[in-house]
Amino acid sequence: MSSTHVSTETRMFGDLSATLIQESRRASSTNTLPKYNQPLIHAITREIQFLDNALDPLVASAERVLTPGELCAVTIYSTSLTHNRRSLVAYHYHRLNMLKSMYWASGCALPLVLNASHIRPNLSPAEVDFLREYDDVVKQFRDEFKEISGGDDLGELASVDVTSDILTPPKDLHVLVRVVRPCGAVATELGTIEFRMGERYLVRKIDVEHLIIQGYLDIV
Amino acid sequence: MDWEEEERQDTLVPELIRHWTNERLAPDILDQRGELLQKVLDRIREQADLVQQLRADPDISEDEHFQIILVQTEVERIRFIVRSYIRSRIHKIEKYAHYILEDQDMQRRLSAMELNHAQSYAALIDRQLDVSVLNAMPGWIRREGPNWQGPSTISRPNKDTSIFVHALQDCAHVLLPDGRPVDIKKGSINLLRYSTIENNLRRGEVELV
Repeated sequence: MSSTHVSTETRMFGDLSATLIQESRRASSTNTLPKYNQPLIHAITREIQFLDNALDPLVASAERVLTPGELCAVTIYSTSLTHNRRSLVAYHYHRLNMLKSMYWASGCALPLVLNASHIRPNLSPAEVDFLREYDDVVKQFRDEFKEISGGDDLGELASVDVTSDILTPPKDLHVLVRVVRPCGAVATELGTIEFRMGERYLVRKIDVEHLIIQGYLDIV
Repeated sequence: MDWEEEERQDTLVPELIRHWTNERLAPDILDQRGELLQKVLDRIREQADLVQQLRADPDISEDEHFQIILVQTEVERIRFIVRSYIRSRIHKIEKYAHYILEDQDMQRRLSAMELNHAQSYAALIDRQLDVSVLNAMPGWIRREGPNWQGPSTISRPNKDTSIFVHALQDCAHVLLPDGRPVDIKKGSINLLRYSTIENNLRRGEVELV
């Protein structure tokens, strides 16, 4: 009596993509960026290559009418292939958007994002490049807008920096802050103030906004 | 400040706030308000100038000291609105960057700076996707061509989003999605699809709330 080994593992074309998209969904719902899944992406790319090679002979023979079986195969292969492509693009695009959010949330402080221990190790080299190039694009827009909005000698008070905080409308000009991380000397409207650890200072909000966002100062 | 300036003051900031609210709530990118923005930026410069003058004066009264704080606070708040307005547009521009580059109507609504940004951003995204994904793909699925199968990869604004609309004037003969025309009364607030009142919004007959 012959025994047939039944594999408990069945895989369809597109299964790998489904796993990849699951990762994206989980990343969104937990608001954390997981490690760039290089192995899975490679596997999906190989699957795409396989499907393309399987399609080649069928598509080349467009001269003759394909049998129903061949038509079925073409449909399955091409649908799986385009699905895989969409999934790969969606995964990367989704990560880029997450990185953008983190970048803006940090107050457009590129070093802050690039050096964060929960971000940097999870990025692909291309994503690091993206952050740098996106930073350039944003800074260019910011500088152009600053120029058209600023007065020549009025500088800070008149010009509009589009990368500044847009979450809370300003109610008070000044804010009482406590130094939680050493940030050295800071230029304010009253001159340069040496911010000492643990001390409290009443300063203009716009002078120290970036320090608050980056965590050097706490609002009291 | 003479009475003419005071009159101007009455409409400039409320108008800015109205356009800011509209821009934040609308799913599509609205017409650029270059003139309004310029007036607002000029106003900010004027106020900053005023503060500078008051500050330079060594013997200022208590009233004037208070005035400095008031003016500065107002400037801060207006700057906040301008920032938020610009960022809201930038967010949508980046979201629909590729669509903008192929739709002339959209392009007309953007300032030169914003259009520039759309181009830079679209190119940046293209480069990223090419390097990480598309260069390893078979040639025929790299770019969306004329024979593309399946849904388009270029996202466009969804004009069927529902928004709350407050009518600033009577609007006659507004066409609902099923073709029926309705007259919207001034002062009423309705929940409608953006596409229904798109033109009314553009003409300033309604505002989004």
